[in-house]
Amino acid sequence: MKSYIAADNMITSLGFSTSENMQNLKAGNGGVQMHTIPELPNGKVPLSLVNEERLEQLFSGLADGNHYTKLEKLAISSIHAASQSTEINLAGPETLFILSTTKGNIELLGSNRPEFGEERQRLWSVAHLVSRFFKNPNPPLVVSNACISGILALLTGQRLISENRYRHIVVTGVDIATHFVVSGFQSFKALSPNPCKPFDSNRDGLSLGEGVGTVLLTSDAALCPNQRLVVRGGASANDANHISGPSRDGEGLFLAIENTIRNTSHSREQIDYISAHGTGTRYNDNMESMAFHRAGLDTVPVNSLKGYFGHTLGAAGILETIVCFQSMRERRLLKTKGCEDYGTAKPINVIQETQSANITHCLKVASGFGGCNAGLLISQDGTF
Amino acid sequence: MEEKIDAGLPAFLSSVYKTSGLKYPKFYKMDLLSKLGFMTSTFLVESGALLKPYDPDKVAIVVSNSESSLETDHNYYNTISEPDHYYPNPALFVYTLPNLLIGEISIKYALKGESTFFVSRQPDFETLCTYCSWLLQNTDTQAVMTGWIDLDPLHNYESILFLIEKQDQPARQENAWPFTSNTMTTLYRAIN
Repeated sequence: MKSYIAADNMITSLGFSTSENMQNLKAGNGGVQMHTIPELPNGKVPLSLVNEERLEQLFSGLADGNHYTKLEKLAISSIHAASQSTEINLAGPETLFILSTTKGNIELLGSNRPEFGEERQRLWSVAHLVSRFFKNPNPPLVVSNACISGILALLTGQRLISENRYRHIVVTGVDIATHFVVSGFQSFKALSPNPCKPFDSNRDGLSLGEGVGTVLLTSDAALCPNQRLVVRGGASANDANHISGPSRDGEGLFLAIENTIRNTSHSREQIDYISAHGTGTRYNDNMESMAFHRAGLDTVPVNSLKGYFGHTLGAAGILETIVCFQSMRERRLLKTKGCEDYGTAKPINVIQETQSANITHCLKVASGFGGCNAGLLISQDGTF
Repeated sequence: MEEKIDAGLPAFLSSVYKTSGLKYPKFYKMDLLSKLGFMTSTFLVESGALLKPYDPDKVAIVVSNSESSLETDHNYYNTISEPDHYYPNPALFVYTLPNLLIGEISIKYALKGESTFFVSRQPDFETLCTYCSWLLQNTDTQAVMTGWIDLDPLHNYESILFLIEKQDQPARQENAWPFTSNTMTTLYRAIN
């Protein structure tokens, strides 16, 4: 069974719908701005944050905001919005929910929020709350695998659909910016003092962001809008080298790309566009250039979206894949915001001007702590 | 040399490590969840002996638990919760992701195959079975290490790992079990 995309939604600093986000992306607008996190001793830090007031307003139409954390409001709002444009029955037994998140409700740790019990700190508890909100009878799945969680969640959905275990799968990736996470990346000296510059020769670190992305996968082609897109499949692979730094030669990402190509029986000459991980750290972007080179993909147009809405962790793999879908639908390659003077260990074809292009096949990749890497192939239906 | 086993989990795992005869100083840098997963995997594969028939690029690791990395999250949080005692520790922060335990097993045994970390309220052997079978049937995965490695902030823990291989591989022992969710559930209940 093929996995088609029936609907999608994204909520980030750049908007509350895929179309609103795309409008800002095409205009070159970024959402990474200086913000103050009160518990941080060193003042301001560049972050991409969702408009909280707008979120509260939106959510108030769905339920009482006092009973839900910010993370849960994001997830529920996004799923609700995505479901509006499809006939898929979220409450049906043939529908499964998959949640991708790295830290869930970590903001509850040590906070004085008696209305939320300790159980809400568990990732499965968030997933159950969300799937039950939509009256779904199945225990939801949670994928928590660092920054590749989103891609893995989509792959899990695609794999389960291919086995005909479920007809429809709601894949949601969400993470919020917290003192916990910001302080951690700061301790690694991984944050740039300015909005990140992926693949730029002067890049000096990543920018964190928050957001949610939802993709409704289905095996039922009839439920999809015209110009169907298909999640073909992909692969994950480990560097088996270091727990926090990527392999210098991009071994794990190279294997993930090779296995994505093998698992989908696709030909590497027919990849039109790569949506990279491109966090803007010296190590990551060099590593990716090595991996793309080794995979013979160094001339394929590649961009990173992290200059627009930062690194959204568990949401990244979903959000950025949705932008891939939209790029394919609108025949538009987005420039790599933040990249002015590109320079990586190996030369690659970084997209520096937003431009028209026919994208039939797109490769999305990601890497994360623990030496994990993943690749995902998306194609226009009828082209393979 | 006999080590007296202390009631505390950290001391217990150190004991287990020392008794195993493994010479792997990186063990001491791991968080408790990774130490738990690492030692379980070491016993599972007999310090690597059982992995010899496989291409290490084709061994997958699929692990699940209910607490994610919450035990380490609490420890990391303690390093940032007091404004006048503020010392965010990167060596601790990196372990506030449960898939790090997979990373540690990967590094020790040079395993570069597929890996995924799932979180569920209770062990979901049905999903693990479906997912791992899919990997064995649809990718060039030759063997999968899979199971449940759980640790809560009070140091209650459960750890069970299975090594799954295809039927056409020579069986490890005469009593190799068929790979089904029922088998895994039975074996899991036997340790409880």
